[in-house]
Amino acid sequence: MLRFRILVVLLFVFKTAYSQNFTISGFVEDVNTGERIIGAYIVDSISNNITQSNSYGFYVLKNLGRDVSIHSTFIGLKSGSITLTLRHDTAINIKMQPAKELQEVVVSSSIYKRNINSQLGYITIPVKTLTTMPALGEPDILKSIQSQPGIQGGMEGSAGVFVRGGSAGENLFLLDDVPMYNVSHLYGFFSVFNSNALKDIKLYKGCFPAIYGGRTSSIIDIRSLDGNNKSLKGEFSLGFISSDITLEGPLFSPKTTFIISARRSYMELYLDAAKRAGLMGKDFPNYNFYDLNARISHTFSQRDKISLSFYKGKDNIRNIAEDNIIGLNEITTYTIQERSGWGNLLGSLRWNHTFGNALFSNTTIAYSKYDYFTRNEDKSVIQNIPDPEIIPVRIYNADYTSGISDLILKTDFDYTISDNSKLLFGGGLTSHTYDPGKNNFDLYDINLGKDYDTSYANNIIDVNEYYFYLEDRYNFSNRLKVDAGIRFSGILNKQTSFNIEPRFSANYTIQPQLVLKAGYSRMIQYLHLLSTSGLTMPTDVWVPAVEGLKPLISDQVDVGFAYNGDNKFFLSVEGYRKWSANTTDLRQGSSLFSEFRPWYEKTTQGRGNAWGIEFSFAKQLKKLSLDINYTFSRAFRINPDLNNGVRFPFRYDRPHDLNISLNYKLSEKWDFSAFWIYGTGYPVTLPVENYKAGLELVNWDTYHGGTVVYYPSINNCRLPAYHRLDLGFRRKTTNRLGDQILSFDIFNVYNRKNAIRMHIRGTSIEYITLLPIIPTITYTLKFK
Amino acid sequence: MKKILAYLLLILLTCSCQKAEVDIPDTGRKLVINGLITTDSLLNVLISKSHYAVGLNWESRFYLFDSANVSIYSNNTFLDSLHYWSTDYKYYSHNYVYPLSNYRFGNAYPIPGNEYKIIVKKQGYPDATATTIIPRLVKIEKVDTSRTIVDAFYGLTFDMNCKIEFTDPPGEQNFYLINMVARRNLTHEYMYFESKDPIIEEELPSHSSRGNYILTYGYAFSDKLIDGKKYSLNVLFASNFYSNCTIYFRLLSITEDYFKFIQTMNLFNATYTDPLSEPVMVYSNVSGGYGIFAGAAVSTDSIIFHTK
Repeated sequence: MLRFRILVVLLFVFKTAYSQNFTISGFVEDVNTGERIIGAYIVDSISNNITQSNSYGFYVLKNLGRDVSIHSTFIGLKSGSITLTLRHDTAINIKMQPAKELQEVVVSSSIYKRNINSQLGYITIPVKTLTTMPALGEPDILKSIQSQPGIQGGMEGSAGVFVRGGSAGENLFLLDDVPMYNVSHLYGFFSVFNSNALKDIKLYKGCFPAIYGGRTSSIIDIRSLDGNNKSLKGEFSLGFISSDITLEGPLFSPKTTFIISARRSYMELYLDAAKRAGLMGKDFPNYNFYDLNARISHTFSQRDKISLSFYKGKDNIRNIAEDNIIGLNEITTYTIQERSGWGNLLGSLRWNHTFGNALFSNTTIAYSKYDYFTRNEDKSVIQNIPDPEIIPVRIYNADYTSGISDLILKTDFDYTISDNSKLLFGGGLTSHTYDPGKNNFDLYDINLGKDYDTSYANNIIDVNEYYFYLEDRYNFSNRLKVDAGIRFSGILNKQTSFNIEPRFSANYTIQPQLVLKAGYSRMIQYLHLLSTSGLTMPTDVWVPAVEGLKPLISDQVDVGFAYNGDNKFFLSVEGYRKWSANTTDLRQGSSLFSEFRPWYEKTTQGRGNAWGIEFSFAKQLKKLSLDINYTFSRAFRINPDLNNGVRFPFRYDRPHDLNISLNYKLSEKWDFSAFWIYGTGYPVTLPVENYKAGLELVNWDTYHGGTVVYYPSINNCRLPAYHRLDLGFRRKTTNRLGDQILSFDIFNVYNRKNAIRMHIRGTSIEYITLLPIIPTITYTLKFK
Repeated sequence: MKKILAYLLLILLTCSCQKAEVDIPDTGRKLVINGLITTDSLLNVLISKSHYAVGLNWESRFYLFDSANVSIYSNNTFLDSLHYWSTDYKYYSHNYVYPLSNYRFGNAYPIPGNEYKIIVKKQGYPDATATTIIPRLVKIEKVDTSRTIVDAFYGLTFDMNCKIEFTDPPGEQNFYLINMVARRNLTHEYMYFESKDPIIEEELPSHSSRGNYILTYGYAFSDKLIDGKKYSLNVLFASNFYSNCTIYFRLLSITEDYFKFIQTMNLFNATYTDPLSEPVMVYSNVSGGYGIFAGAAVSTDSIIFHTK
């Protein structure tokens, strides 16, 4: 049972009002850190008015009487009530305290995050719950997201998430309102989001509010911390693969705060040691990744606040092999150097402003960039003994680069019209610059006597994308709540486009414990992600919906209900049907790298449809929490240029997907967590027969004797079922330094060999597997 | 500590890919029909069977039937049964290759405009059927030759330029294949030649090459750039390869099925060893089986080529 307590600070009085309809507005903050709290409920128990703080912690309660009794609730924070007699509209900043009582309860991804009144297709993932899942060394947002119903993680070693029959490129990850194009390190094993620097995670997979757009499958809205305005605090985490450090505190005054968080892997240390010890070949590549989050916020007044955010992350792979051949009169040195790297760079400046007591605005100017490069250098030099001069004999360089960058300007308004109506409106413009791939080759050969320099480059394309939207969240009664909106969007290029995206969702409360829900949304996406062989890799290329490619359009209908069993258990069932137009695939035989054709000649567009039903069950006891998520779904594609125009399963079609997570508090110091996942194997395309297809002149005189492998259809086979058990133990102690957490995690406990790819070898089909059992130990210190 | 480190490294970093062998069900074999029936040849096809995908390497030989029941119909009228005549393999370019046919019909040439249907029956296999219509004949109207001066590379000099003139019928979709045959004494051989005309869409590559240059046996194209127009197709061949020969120019009017087969076959051959390429489904018009059964109307012209 949560108990509430509010510390109220009256900051400003805006105006004197003599009517009986008063307004209270302000921000909800954590009293210990000054962080503004997103999604806290604020209730006046006298008028029964209720509202929720927005993505910036701002709230408005309207149509209040002279006497009010304010309650506030939020996970893990104490709240309570205060009774006031109002004489005019008032600004109140509500300050909440951490609830010690809650420490006795397992804080999990369980009932706390569930609200039966939340709209369909919406999930919030409290950052605190990230640590309650077993992980590969450190808490991971992507793993938590992938455990939600209707969401999959794809194959091991594949970065991204796959939502309701959509591909990886149909998800929009927003970090403080800025799109992030690559969301994982180490080919999907770690997310790029450092959980120490995060405040809030919202996920939409259906019934999208009009404020969101630009992708058709999901929106993942991630907010970072502002920084503690009370005192300097920090956190240090030492893991087997990577370590991170976070520092936050006031800068000169409580009005200015900072937070900086850095993380780096050090696998290359192990790799070098292993190479020296002869455990692995010298040509095994070295790998590392890092990321850096930083943010400075300054509160000018109750009305104005600005935040400057920065993110940079990078993955690097490097391999150098060298060989010397010593002759009688010369030494010839051969060097092969291969380097690859990819990463994001984000920067944003946000200004929050409050007009009056009911209109809140956020304006953002931001930059986001993702780039990928690979460079191979093959060099041979000769040194004639005893001449010290080194003469290059042959130098061959091959480079490949691709990427995308965005310059963004957007503004959003949040206006509370009355106690039962809230209006959201705004717009934005994004200037995209696409670099869909560029190959450079240069060769110097002393025998040829001249340099060769060749480039195969796709044109860099600039496309401007705009949108504006209007949305009203209206409560017709205590039982019926409707969220209706419309979004207008398009691109400004050689040809300007204009599209309308209607959005609608409704909740009807049958009983206080049971809510029926339904909704419809149209989403339009003006860019496509081209992937190699269906694997989501850093090499994937973003391309715009131009040059004959049409924007991706999806229409989705959702229905469902949520039931809260007296706070003892929670059950949610959601069904959806989604139709997609202009889904983009590579043509048969095409490859992103192996052929130098423009990207638009390699692609073809078709249609997709998907449907499914998602069950979510959560049970909360004093020491135990249990989450069970099960999804039955199907997803198909139809493309006139593929599979002879016949429908085929989408490459991430997974009919059965089951996730079970459990947390148990063993003692004051020890927690135990377990996570088990089961999923139908993903479809793959495999030949089932071979035959001779030789005719006069055609395929007759080929070196493989004219043999053709026959694929009956695309994705005609399936990999074996995927399943895996992860376990975690956490020991938490407190001493004069601060809180110390020692985590023992075991990934893939029973060493399941989950297939990521199949191929024919000799007399059998072989499955390639990637991750075996992996134990990790992580030490974390949250210092005071 | 060293042992712990070594253990962790082994399981985490050097685990790489592990493989597990699993069998997949074998759903049985099918009949394969390969037949390009042309107006300048007796009707003949190659009948074989498919091979299970697992347990095959490129050197494997495919089973050629000698006791299948092969019936041919012309405009829905039973014409005759094709007769088995050969299953010999040939050793060519370091590979065993198939004969171009093992069943033939002894006394009929395909006629332009006629529809031909083939039905192949063999006990233990599903029946395989395919249909094709012989396209209308597009005649070579003229062949002009001239000698050009070009750079030689790898001992190859494409110095003889020939212009093959024809007129594409207007208002219909047509597909073509051009190839050249050299006859010296009693032997025939397909000629390597080159065309860089913009209408060329598909090359018919040979296994032979000079450096990175793959020698080509023929070219296929559609009429999308020349619909209803008179056109002179430029081809070049190496005079030193084909001295004292009679050179036949063959312009084949082919079906769309055959053109699609050439397109997908070329794509398959170009990409099947690339693991990053999307799989290619080679076009087939055989129901109940695999392969291609297509027709072509052939127009031929020739020159006698003497070198001093």
